[in-house]
Amino acid sequence: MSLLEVENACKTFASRQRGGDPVQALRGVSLQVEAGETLAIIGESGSGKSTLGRAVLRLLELDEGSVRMDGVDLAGLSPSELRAKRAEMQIVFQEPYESLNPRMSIGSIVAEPLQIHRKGLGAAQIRKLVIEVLERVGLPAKVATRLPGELSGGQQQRVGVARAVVSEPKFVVLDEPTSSLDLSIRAQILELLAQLQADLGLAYLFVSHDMHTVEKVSDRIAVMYLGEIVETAPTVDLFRSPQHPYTQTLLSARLSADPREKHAYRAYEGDASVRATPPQQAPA
Amino acid sequence: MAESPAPARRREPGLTASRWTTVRRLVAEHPGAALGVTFIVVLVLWSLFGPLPYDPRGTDGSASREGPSGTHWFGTDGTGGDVFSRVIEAAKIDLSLALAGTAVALVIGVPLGLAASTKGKGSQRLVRGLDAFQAFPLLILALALVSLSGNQLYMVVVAIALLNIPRYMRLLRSEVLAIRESRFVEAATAMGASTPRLIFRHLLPNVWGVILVQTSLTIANSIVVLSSLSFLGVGVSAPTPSWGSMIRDGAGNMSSGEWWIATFPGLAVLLCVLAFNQLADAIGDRTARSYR
Amino acid sequence: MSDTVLDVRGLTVDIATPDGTVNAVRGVDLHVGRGEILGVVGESGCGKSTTIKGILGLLPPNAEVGAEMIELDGYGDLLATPRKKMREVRGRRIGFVAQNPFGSLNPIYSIERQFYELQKAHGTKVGKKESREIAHAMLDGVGIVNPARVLDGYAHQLSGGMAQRVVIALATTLSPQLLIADEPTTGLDATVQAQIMDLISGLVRSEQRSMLLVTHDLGVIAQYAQRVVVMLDGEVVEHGPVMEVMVDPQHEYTRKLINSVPKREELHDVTA
Repeated sequence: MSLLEVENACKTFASRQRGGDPVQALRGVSLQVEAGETLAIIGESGSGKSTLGRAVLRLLELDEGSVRMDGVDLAGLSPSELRAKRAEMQIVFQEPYESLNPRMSIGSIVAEPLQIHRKGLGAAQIRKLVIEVLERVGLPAKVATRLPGELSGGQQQRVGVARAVVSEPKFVVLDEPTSSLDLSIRAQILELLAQLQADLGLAYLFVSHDMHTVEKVSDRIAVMYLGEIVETAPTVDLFRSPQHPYTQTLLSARLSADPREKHAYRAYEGDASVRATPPQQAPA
Repeated sequence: MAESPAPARRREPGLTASRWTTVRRLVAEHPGAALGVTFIVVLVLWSLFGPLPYDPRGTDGSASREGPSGTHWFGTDGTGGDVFSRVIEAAKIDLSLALAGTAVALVIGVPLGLAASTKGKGSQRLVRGLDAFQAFPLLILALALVSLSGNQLYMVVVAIALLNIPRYMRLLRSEVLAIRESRFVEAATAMGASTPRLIFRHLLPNVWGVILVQTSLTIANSIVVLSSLSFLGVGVSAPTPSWGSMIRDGAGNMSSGEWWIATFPGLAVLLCVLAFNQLADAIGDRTARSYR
Repeated sequence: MSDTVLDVRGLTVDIATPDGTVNAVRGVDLHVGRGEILGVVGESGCGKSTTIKGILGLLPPNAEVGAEMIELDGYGDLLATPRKKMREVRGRRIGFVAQNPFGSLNPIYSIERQFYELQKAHGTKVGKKESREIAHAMLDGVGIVNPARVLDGYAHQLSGGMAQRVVIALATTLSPQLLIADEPTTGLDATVQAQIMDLISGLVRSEQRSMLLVTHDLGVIAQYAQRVVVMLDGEVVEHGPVMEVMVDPQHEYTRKLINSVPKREELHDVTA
């Protein structure tokens, strides 16, 4: 049994524009995540990758299909059972500042999961745990009294990570956790996430649009295109011998920072309103 | 907040935490609001404790309709009452009714607004009910309520509240709808927060600023409503002085040149409204800034 | 005609804030050669966007721009050009492509109208019909398959990549010799980014235009620019041909930046 098992997940959203076609964000997605591993979901805008990240945490309801955590079907849980289950499954968002309540101190933000899930703890114990986890994510204890707006983007994201791991989850969705950060900060956060995974045995679902990042962090990669997973493979295999033409296109769009490695972009189906080289194979 | 490891405290770099410095800086940044607050405080204190030159309910047949002078600063009205004493005295009833009406509107409107900001069917029904309710000419409804009750003062409070509850509801609804979609509320849901926790720790603290602004504006508006009611002879009745009834009493004398009888209570209404509006601006300014 | 299209020397930008003056840009030199793409790279807050806004006269009044010279070939001194006159320079002499295409397009005008407004604003005496023909050709030139449909539509009907193509077409309509692009592909998908950058570099190469390309993305610089300027805290820390700076960086900061991008071989070793 895998830690997380998603089967035939389907989700359709009503169109935002009146009279527009409904958007099929997920079209029968199945995947497994094993304990302690990182599965990356890579895709471009409109691929449904963020919807998938929220659906596996039941932050939105699926139209069809099931999500099982430790063999427990999340859809079968009552609201209070689901809330209790949330200690085990957490999320880190793309926008570090927006994901922190601007009116709460860093200490209160990180303490909140403990207040919810470990009701037996006294104020002093919570305080001790909060300082511990802040230090674990590389923040000095004194930031506990600060407000989110007083920290840098990188520090804010460390707080987001601290809040996600303080309740000792087994599984964390990372929704583009480094996309809005500067390059050098990005590397630090990725290192921190890898360290936490090694120390705490976390499993990650790493949602990203960036091949460079995904290559660095993931054990396996699932490529999403228009609501479907078109290819899943171990990271090394996917980069060495991408099978699906869309994966090949994504890889060809990477721009290497080494000017000696010239890229040659190969278009895939693409935007029909824009001229591009013809697709090599019809989409799956 | 008691169990949180550290209370939220905002630090201003380069500023010693002297309260006096903070006050001075506030005054420098919002001179209009500071002036307004001072005016209201002086008015309230004087009306409650201050010595008035004459009995505000007294009459003096020998000194009717005298212009402003050293003895009667704002002149006298038709029955010889001292306009200055009456303007100050009226603050007691006018401001307390306005505040009471606003408080009732706040206490009822905020929870209703919260309830109307969910995605459920009940919320939609509430909004539709609100639309229907606001289709009534509410000022006329208020007038009818107060006069049918036989000029009961508590009905004046109810009338002011009725006029302002819809405003609180709409404000809360629009603000909370936006905040409900925010990442940090999603994060709280993802960590398993219960509904009361979502409301009291995540939603309400982020709308306090706009609630305060709205409250200040509502007080200003209530003063106008109250004055309109008493101008029409509804609500506060003689011999208790109120600004609205004083304006009505003096309105007839305007044409004969005795301007002071209506002008000074009118000025009191104007300054109070200005003061609360300035205060609302300043609060809005500060809450907008503290988000950054 | 000289070989330097844009010559900026000793550019400074001081921004007055309530907490004192911030020296956002401190003595930046930029030389854009003919037919060349000069990349300006740095992390957020390094002053790269402020630099180009200073050159274009797009900074708010509380910012003071100073320089030894800002010389645009065939036009003259930009520093001495008054704000009003700068509007004529932008569009006709310098095409500007901003990060968010939807911010550059007017949401309530049709795309066709925006091409016409551009002509009117620069007093070209081009009529409505002729403007549409020109616009049609421009959109065709940026790879849009059905220009007529896009011309009749509005910005919100376009995808991010399409909108950026329209902005590029607008920026090049009056044939400016210099293009300035501020993070032109940030926020776009990788596949769209590759298409847009291929388009932009093609436009520069085919018409012997020049371009100042501001980005935080080292991949974009390495693949498309010929020379690069690395900025840190409002100053240039390293500059030179891409082949030298990106392959064998001299400054410690440049090295740090480049090392924070994973290189392919190394990573395969790690994961294998």
